[in-house]
Parts: sequence; C-alpha cells; structure tokens
Amino acid sequence: MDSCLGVEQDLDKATIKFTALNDHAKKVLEDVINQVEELKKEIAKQPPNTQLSQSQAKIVSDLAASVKQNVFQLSTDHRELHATVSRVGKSIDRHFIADYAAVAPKAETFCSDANRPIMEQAIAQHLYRQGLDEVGDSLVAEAGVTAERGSTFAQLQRCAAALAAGDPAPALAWAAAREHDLAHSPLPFALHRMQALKLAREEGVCAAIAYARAQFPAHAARHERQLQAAVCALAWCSPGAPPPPPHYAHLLDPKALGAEAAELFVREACALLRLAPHSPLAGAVLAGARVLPALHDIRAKMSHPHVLAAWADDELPLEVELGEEGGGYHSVFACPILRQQASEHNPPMRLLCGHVISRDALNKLAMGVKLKCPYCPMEQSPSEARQIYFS
Amino acid sequence: MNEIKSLEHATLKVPYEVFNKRYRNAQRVLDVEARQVTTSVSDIDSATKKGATAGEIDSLLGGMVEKLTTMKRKASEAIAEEVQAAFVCKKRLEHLKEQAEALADPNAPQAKTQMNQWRKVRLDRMLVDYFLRNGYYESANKLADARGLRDLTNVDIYAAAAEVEAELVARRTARCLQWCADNRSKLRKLNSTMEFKIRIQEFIELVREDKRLEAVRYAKKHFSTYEEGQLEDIQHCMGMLAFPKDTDVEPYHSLLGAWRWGALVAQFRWEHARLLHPARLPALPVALQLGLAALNTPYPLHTARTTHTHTHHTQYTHYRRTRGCPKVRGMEGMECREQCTK
Repeated sequence: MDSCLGVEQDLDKATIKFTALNDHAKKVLEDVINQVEELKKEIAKQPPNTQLSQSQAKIVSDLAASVKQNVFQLSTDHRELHATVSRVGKSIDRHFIADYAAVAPKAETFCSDANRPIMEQAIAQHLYRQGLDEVGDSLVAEAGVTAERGSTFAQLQRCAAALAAGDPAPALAWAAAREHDLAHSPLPFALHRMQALKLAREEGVCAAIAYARAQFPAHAARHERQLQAAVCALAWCSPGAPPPPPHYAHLLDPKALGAEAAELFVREACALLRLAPHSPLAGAVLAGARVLPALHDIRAKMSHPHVLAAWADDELPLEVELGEEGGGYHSVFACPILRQQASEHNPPMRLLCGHVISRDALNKLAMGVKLKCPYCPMEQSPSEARQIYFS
Repeated sequence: MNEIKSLEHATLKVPYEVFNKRYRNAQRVLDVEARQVTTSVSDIDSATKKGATAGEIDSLLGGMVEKLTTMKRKASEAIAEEVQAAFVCKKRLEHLKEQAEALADPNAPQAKTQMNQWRKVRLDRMLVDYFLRNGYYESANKLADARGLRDLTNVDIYAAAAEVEAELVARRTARCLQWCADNRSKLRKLNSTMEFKIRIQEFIELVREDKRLEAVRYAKKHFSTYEEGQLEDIQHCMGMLAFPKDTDVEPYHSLLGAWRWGALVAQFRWEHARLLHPARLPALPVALQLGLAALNTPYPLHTARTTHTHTHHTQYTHYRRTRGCPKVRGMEGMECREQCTK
C-alpha cells in the first residue's frame, strides 16, 4: 500500500501542475492574441500608406517585446516541470522492484525455442479453459501451437459469467441437472439465495418470499444461519428502505454476491469434474507470484550492510549448527554490551564482580582508572579484569 | 515486500515512459512555436525601425496573430496529451491500490473474492503483456477486449509497433527508420544496431535489383560515418558489388537471403520492448518458472511458516522473531544475525 501511495503522491502533484499549466497557457495566449488584434484594429484605422507616428511605433515595438517575453516564459514554465515528471519515474523505481527476474535466472530457458511452444500450449489450454475460445484460436494461429479445445469449459464459463453479471438462471439449471452429485455442496443454496434476492430486487419482496418458501426448506438443515441472514436481508429490499446495516450489506450488493457465487460455482463444478479450480498455468503463476516477494526479501537481505559486513569478517552471514564434533570450535561469546562476537583482538574479559564483557566494551566504559560494572554497582579498576578462555 | 511491489513495476513504468515522451514532445512543440512567434516579432521590430507604413505593420501584425493562434492550438493539444498520459498512470495505480487495500485488510468480508478476482485480472494482464512482447498482436487485442483491459495493458502503446512490424514484413523500411529517428538518443544508450541493419538491408535490396551505382551512392551517404564493429559488415556489402545476385559464394549468398527480413522484425520487436520495459523478460515466464519451482519444492513454504520443528539447520530460536520475514530453507539464521547486530 505504501508503495502505491508514494507514487500516487508524486503523480498527483504532476497532474495538478500540468492542468494548471494548461489553463495558464490558454489564458496567456488568449490575452496576447487579444492585445495584438486590438492594436491591429487601431492601426487599420489609418490609411495604409501613411507612416506610423513615433508614439505608435513605440507602442508596436513594446507590444512585440511583451509578446516575445510571454511566449518564452511559457516554454520556460513547461521546461521547469521536468523535475516533476522525472520525480514520478524515480518514485516508481524506488517503490517497485524493476528487475523482478533477477531472482529467477532460469526463467530465460522458458523462452528458448525448445520450451516456448510448451509454454504457449499451456497458455492456449488455459484460454480455452477460461471459455475464451476466440482468443485461444488466435493464439494457436499466431504462435503455431496445438491445443485441445474442450466443450465442457465453455458451458461452465458461460454459467460463471452469467453469475458474475447477476443472473443465476443458467447455473441453477446446471446445478439442477446434477442435484444428486451436489448434495453436500454449498453451491445450490448459494444459487437459490442469489435468485431469491434477485427476485426481491426485481419483482418485490413477495415474489422472493414465495421463491424462498419453495426452495429454502430443503437447505434449512445445513445452512440455518445463512438462511436466516438471507431472509432478514429481504427486509431492506423494499423500495424506500433505509441503508442496510453492514452485516447485510454484502448480501444486498448484487455485484459482490455475483462474484462470490461465480467463484464458488467454478470451484464446485471443477471439483465435480475432478479438476483443480485453476488451470495448470494459472496455478503455477499464482504460486510464482507468491514466491517472488520472498525471494526478493532474501536478495535484499543478502545485500544488506550487516550481511556484507559478516562476509567481510570471514564469517558466514547465517548461523549454522555444526554438530557435536564441529560445535566445540564455534566462537561462543558475544559481548552483551556491543553485541559483537568475541575475537582474538576483542576477547571476553571477566570483571572483578564476575560479569563478563568484551575488551572493547571494557575500554569504552572505563573512566581513567575507574570502571563501573554495567550490570552491578561495583566499582573497580579496569586493570583488575582478566581475560577468559572458553574451551 | 508484497506481490505488488515485486511484480508491478512495469505496469506503472511503461505508461510513465509514454508520459515522459509526451512531455519531451510538448517541450519541443512549445520551443518550435515560440521561435516561430519570435521571428514575426523581429520582423515587426525591424519594420518599425525602418519606419514602415501602417499597411505593412497591419499585415505583419496579422501574421503574428496567425502564429500565436497556431501556437495556442498546438500547445493545448500537446499539453492535453501529456495530461491524458498521466491519467493512464493514475488509472493503473488505482487498480493496484484495489489489491493493496485487500492485502492490507484480509479479514474484510469481500476481501478474499476481491483478491481472487484481482489475481485473475493479473494473469490476464500478464498474458496480454506476453503476447505483445512476442508479436501476437491479434491475440493480445482480443484478450484485452474480451476482459475489458485496454487501459490496464499496453495494447494501444504497441499498436504503432505492430504497424512498423507489418511494414517490415512487407519489406518497407520507412516506418522503422522513422521510429529509429524518433528514439535515437535512447537507442544509442542501448547500443542499438537497428538503424545500421536497416541501412544494410536497403543496400542489399538495391543490389538485388541490380541498381549497383545507386547502391554505391547509398553507401556513400549512409556508411561513411560508421561506428566501431560495423566495418566488417560494410566490407561484406561492398564485396557484394563484385558478385552476381545469384552467387553461391559466402557471405554474399546469405546476405541476399530472405530470412534477413524476419531477423529484422525480431530485432525490432526486441529493441522496442527494451525501450519500453525496464525488465528484459515478460512477467509471465518468470512467475511460471518460479511457480513450478515452488510447486516442486518438497518442503512447502507454508508449513515452514507455521511449525518450528525443522531445526536441522539452526537452533538459535531464542533470538528468532518473525517480522514478516519469509522462512526459507537454509536461510533461517538470517533474521537472527540481523537482530544480534542491531
């Protein structure tokens, strides 16, 4: 969200400036044109072959100078917007990742001559499965691939499209023909509910109640709460009803309800056909889009200053358990003050009171010959601290 | 980090490039028109100094009004185009925001359906983009129209490219040369050889038609300012002059091959996409490859996120606090390291 808002801010600024400039340019040019035309009229009053008087000549050249200045000012004003425009581009670059493919070095192979037809076949099959026969045909022709064109999907997608457009009739007919298979599915109730609410909107609440009486009892056992909500929602369907409470809002929004029903329909119908709800292409792309942010995160982390510093210190940027044999040689002390691993140059030091900190921390905390332990109030001399060794 | 940030850069950047181009174009229009007006201003100046008659001044002023009117018309046209390009950016941003809102509040009643819908649209957008970048213009147009995605995809931006390609297929180079001239500075940055390749092809066509003298004249005009690495190609061209057009001698035989036109189309398509898109590959193959890799991974990400029992790599759980960082195999220690050093 932040990235969108960041770009939006800069973009809005640019739009405002350009609209203002447009109005300003129109006004300035109009004014200038009017001035020149007025002067022209003035001069046209004189007989054409008389010389201009001194003062007239001055007026003309003054006007010419002001025209020149105005016109140049316009082009300068526009040139000054360059910063605004390029700020939008920089903002996009800053808020979004330009090189998304950097984390997918193998993606290139998908575009090779050997693999491309396979990918394009998958695309064509996906298009057919979406009911986009015409697009699929044109891709098959343009890319020169072959793909099977099933007829079942066309019917399913027609029903889904009708649902999304708010008409449950084709889907109801489809579901009625498969009543037995859908006995445990929430789909039939969702469709009947949509139909009832549609009737309420179009033919009045009475028609909806009659429809509900005929259809809802069969589903009452499994969808009691939803059924109650649907019937209650009818109360806000009559003309002149006040706005519905938020609880019922989504039942009364035909577009939202249709989209939800269409999704449910595709899922249930595909389940009935023993297919995944997404085409293989859609499924893989969905997964890929989810993986990308994670990979970008890792990439960003690996180039993080802390990680680079760890590499520079001859250490790994991540901690690895080395098992019993190797574990004994791990560097095991981290200074609680500086939060740094102990090293040969910065060994752990035991203070008189028994607390252990690193030598760098000790030197930083020491005030001349006095040292106050950061953990307890004991005062001591820095020279009393002893280096300790872990084995 | 989320799916929008990591995948949608080009969605905004491409219309931005159009916006930027229109801005430059408008600046040029304003400069040219301003210069036109100033010539008429200096005409008037010199006329008044000479002591011109009222009639002369009248007609000069008339000319100035005319020039100012054209400037007004052209300026407002050019600026309107800029604003329109900015609105395209804005529209796409609105679309991205829809998803960002759903991501920010995943528990809203309609968020899930909305998110699924949006992802469906995203796949369609990726497909259109893939089609466009591979020259499947008809499919791209049909898909964009079928789903109502013209504003969210680059079909209109690519319409000009489709025309240039069609011209090249028909063995006409004028449009492509025009495109090279329009984008000269950007093409130079990419070390483009497009224009040079087209010039070579025109030379070859002249030889093919046996207009050898004309070919030499053409070469004098266009090859005299060659750049590094181009000399060899030019030498091949010149060598061609000595051979008949049905020669079997290489490399002259292959210079005359018809496949060169196909290669020119492919090169144009590639360079056109390079100018517009910051990323070299379309999003579709990237997402597809990563998706297949993710599906292949035996240890799925979501179980890694919910269980903490997989300690075969690290055991520093006392430091680990997940802050929206993904748990990926072998990388568990990174979070820990960062916390220690802070």
